[in-house]
This record gives sequence, C-alpha cells and structure tokens, in this order.
Amino acid sequence: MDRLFVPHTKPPATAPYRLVMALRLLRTRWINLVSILGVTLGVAAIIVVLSVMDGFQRDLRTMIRGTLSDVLVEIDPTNVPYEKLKADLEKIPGVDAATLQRHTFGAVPASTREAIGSRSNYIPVKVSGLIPEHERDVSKVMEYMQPMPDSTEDYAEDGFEPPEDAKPSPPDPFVLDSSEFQSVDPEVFIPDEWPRVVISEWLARRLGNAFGAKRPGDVFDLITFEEDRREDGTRRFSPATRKVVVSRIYKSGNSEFDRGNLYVDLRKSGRVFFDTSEGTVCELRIKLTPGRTVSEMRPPLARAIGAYDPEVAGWPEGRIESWQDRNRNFLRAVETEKAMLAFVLFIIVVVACFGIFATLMMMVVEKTRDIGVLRALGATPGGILAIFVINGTLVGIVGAILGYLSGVYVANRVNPIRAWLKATTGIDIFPADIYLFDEIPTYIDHGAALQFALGAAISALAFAIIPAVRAAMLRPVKALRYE
Amino acid sequence: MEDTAPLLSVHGIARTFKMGSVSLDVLRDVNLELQEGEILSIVGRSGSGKSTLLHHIGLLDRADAGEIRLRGERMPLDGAAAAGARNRFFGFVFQFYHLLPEFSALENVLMPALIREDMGSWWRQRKVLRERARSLLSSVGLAERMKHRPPQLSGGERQRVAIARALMNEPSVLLCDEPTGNLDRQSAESIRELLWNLNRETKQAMVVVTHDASLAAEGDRVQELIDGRLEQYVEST
Repeated sequence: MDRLFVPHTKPPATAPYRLVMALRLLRTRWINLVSILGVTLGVAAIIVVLSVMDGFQRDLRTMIRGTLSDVLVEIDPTNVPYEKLKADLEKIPGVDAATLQRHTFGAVPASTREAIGSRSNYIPVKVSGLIPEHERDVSKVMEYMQPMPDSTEDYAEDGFEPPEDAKPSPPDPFVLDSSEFQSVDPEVFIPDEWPRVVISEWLARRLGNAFGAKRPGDVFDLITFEEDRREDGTRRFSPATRKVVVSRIYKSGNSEFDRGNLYVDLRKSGRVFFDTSEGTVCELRIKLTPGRTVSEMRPPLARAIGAYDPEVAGWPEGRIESWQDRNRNFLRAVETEKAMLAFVLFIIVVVACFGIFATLMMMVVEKTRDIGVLRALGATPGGILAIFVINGTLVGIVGAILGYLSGVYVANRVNPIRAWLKATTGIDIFPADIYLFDEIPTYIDHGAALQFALGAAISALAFAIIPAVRAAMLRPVKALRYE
Repeated sequence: MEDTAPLLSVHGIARTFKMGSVSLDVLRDVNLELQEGEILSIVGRSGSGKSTLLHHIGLLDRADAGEIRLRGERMPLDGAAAAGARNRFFGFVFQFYHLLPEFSALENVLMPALIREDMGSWWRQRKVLRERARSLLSSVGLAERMKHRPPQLSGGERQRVAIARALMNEPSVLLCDEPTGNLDRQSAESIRELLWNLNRETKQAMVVVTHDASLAAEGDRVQELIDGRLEQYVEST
C-alpha cells in the first residue's frame, strides 16, 4: 500500500518562532520606533484634543444647564394664576418643582458720561423677574449670586478669616438696606422704592467707572418699555427710564448669558417692570424628577398647562422645550465640531499607520532571504504571514498604549503646560478673554480614549496585512536566491 | 519490505523552467537512492541544476513530476505538510550559510525547534532544547561563540553554526549545497572534516552538492548531473 507521509508532521499553529521573530524584528529595527512614534502622537493628539473638547462641552452644558431648568414653557401671561398652576404642575408625578420667570427687554446706558448724546452706547439687556425661593428649586441661578462684598462669606470664599465687624450677606439677594450702602456719589440718596437688581459681574465691570466696577449699593439707569393705552383702545409702547439699585452681583461662568441678563425679584419689583406691559414673556420653569425625560412628560404637562393656555395643549412639541432644545443649535454645533475633530485626528492615526505599512514593506524586501531561510527550516506561509502581522500589530499596540498614556498625561496637565508655555514663550494658547473659561477645561473620557487606542491598533493590523501577505507568498527558493 | 527500503529514494523528478517562450529542462527523470549513513556527492557544472535538485529533495520546491520517499513513505511535495516534513527530516546547509543576523549562534541553532514545537511544548522543553543546541555548538567547536551574532563570526564559524542548526531536529538526511564553496581552503577543509566526522560518528546520511571534485570524491558515491540527468561520475583525467 502506497502511504502518503503522515500529515501530523505539519508545524503547529502556535509555534513560538512567529512571536520570537516578530519581537526580534521589532527590537532590532529602529525604523519601527518611527512608526510607533507616529501612532503615539496620533493617539495622544486625539485624546488631548477630545479631552479639551469634552471638558469644554461639559462645562458649557453645566453652565447653560445651571441657568435653565429641565423644562421651559413659554405661556401667555394673561390670566395665569401662578400659585394654582404651580400647584397643579407639582401634583403631576415626575415633576419635582415649578416656578415662572417673566422677561422683558431693556437697555442700560453704557456709562453715565458717554450715554449723554450718544445713541449707540446702550447695552441691551433682558430683565428676568423671578421668585427667589421658588427659583432655587428648579435651577442654579440663585447659587450664582455672589456674597456681599466684605461679608463673612466673601472673606471665607477668599480664604481669609472674616474681621469681627463683618456681617453675613442677607439671605435674600434682592434685599438691600439703603441705610448701609451709599452710592459712589454720597449725594445720591437711595429710596427704598427703587427696584433692586442683581447684575452680572460682566455688566458690573462694563458699567463701572474710575472707581471700579459697580457694587451692591450702586445705582444706574435702566430703560424698559411701558405700555400706554389710549382712549381709542390702541396701545403704544414708550421707553421709561428708572433708577435701579444693584443689590448683588452674579456670575454663572457663561459669559454669553451673563452679558445680557439681569434679575429682579418678581414679587418685589414685578409690578414695576412687568404688569405694565402685555408684551412681557412668561416662562414656566419646571424641574423633573431625575430619570424622567421631557418627551415622556410632555403629554401630562401639556394637559395641565393647556387648561390655562390652550396654545400649549395644541402644540406641545413646539411649546414645551427641554433646556437642550432651547440651545439645540449651539449644543449641536459643539458636538459636530467634536465629531469632526475626532474624525480628522483619526485620519492622522491612519496616516501614521501608513508608516507601519511602508516600514513593513521595506522590511519584507530587506528580509527576503531570511524569509527563504525560515521556509527552508520548515516555516509555513501562514507562519511568515503571522510574523509580519504580529510585528505591525505590536507597533500599533505599543504606539496606542504610549499614545493613550501620554495623551492622558498631557490632558491632565494641560493647564500647567499652558502656563509653562506662556512663561517661556509668551504665547497664551488659551486666552481667557476669548474663551468662556479661565482655565482650559478637560474631561478625559477613558472609554472613548481606549476606543481610539484600540482603533489605532486595529488600523495597524489592517495595514500590516498587505506586506505580510507579500512575505508569505514569496517562493522559498526564489527568496533564498534574493540578493 | 520497508526494512529493505532505502533511506531516501527519488523517482522521476523533472523540472522545467519557462523563461518567456523558452523552456529549460533543468531536471529530467532524476532518480537516486540514499542508504542510511551514506554520503552521496553530486557534482556538475555551474547551472547544471544541482541546487535545484537539492531543493526538490528537501521539499523546498515542487517538481513538475516525480516522487520522493523517505524510508518508503511518500513525502508531500507542498503545503504545510511538506514544511513540517522539511523541518523534521531534512537539514539544509547552504553555501552562504544563511544564518538569521538578528539572532545569536545559539538562537539560530534553536530556530528549527522553535518551528517544530508548539508554544506549550516549547515552554516545557526549553531547557532540554537549549542544552541540545549548546551541545551541538560545542560539538562543532563553537562553545565559546554561542552568544555571538553572525556578523561577529568568520565564514567557517558561520558554516559551523549552520551545520549545528541543520542537525538540531535530528534530520534523517543532511542536504549540503556547496558547503565549502564560500570558504578559504583551510576553513573548507575543517568543514569537510566536520561533516565527515559527523557521518562517521553518528551515521548521518548526507547529500552533498558541490563542484569541488576533491570534496565530492570523499563521498561514498559520486554522481554527476549532466543535461538534467544523474549519471555515474567519471573522473576526467
């Protein structure tokens, strides 16, 4: 019987020479370092940039979120019995709290001196009337209000022991005892009936003069609109200028928001600003129980609010908004920018993987004779393929790990690095007056970072396949004769 | 029947190379037999196909026709099975040594075992296999050069490492392609002595391809490859 040679002599699929050879080629070819460096830089760049973008996005969301509530509904302010509507809404399962804000628009002369005879130096503002004790339940607006200057809280916030004569800030930021405060001009008397307003730190600076920014107790002119009902039933709106008193300063951190908002207490000063005009906007602000979504709460909210404003019931999708809906375009723009950056940066990683491809192609040519030798010693084409695939993948894995580590390191120390760069080169890579933040915000999403690192390693593997197949297809005799 | 079968038998090996429209019959119906412990020398002019024949015998290349048997069993001519058979039953010694430059002498000698074993058995036997590689290097006179890499060795030393490597998996047949062809006279002589001593001491069967008539003459039999056929060698006067 003619017997074919027993097939069990096939070399084992896990023969160690593949790994040994791949590791040795990795160790002895300095050009591999260039490939590793390419992947490292690419992955690190992705992690650093996306961490900054993530930090930026998160801080931005927190800031936007802080000034808004979970649900915002604009309703017709006429005939809205606030307390009753609030009670109705808070009975709905899933609603934690509800309140309202009324808004009107006005302008503030940019400075007392310049305002005279100047038509352009007016700062447009949105006057928001709120009920402080209710607002506390639905947003962080009240938390943004700073303590009174030289109060015990102010000293404590700055890390100093308050002096004995320091007093705590009044709990109500819209209260200002006029006897204790004087305007920068001692001749100015502050009557109790002048509305108290909480202005942003930005506006306080903007309205300041040689004596500094506006402080609690300072007075400025606020122009709003008053409705004038005529005998024939028509209405006219005419500007009315009022003296208002700064009772507190707030800072939300969102400079865009801070720029145009000032707050008044609806119950103390609402009549002055809102009840005179039907054009004022009434905004319901609702806080949901954590875990509830706006889309699931829309029908019960529409039913409850619809009893007072039929338009809300008629089009709940358009009138009952989440805080994200209110800022949809902005949030989407940031998200899109982040996605585009991630895409572009991943292309850098792919370009780095071309380095692996080129290195391996070169190595296959250089090692042609050795490939022939290995085949003569019994290596299979699959074994040769594995050597180069392992080599390329190892380059990718090492590069990805180093990229991940260095990316996380840099992302964690981006602010000290920025400070160092500024100190040594004078270049500030993140000017605080341009961006919304004082520091570069970073948030490292380790899950996403690892995904990018894994993507880099997989790309490296993919780019190693073509050179590896080329090596595996070499005929051993031809390879041995290669010079 | 099998007891009487020769160690190696080659039947009807033929190989034609095509270069464009020209066909070159390098091997035509080549037959040979090799007994246990025998040294067969094959001589021939340069380009006569000696190395090609050796590559076919060692399953490194596939012939157009013919078969190769080892102790009566037909060898696979290609694929992973041929690679496995090549690894276990044949040891190659090349004219240009063909050592792997990234590895030390010891690691080069271990390479056939690294190909033969799987990861688990390699790990279990690594000490035994290392010991065997060391002893092989000692037996070829390189006990002091084990950690040297090929570029740090002389031509003769490299060929000794190559011989030790070829012997690592205890091959049935050692296939030597011009083993002294790239060496000076003194080194060539020492390699010849090494091979022939090996044959005397371990009965290692060998096929030695050479164009060096004096080296060939020391084989048990000498055959000449003429026009693609093996013929009895007749020494020209």
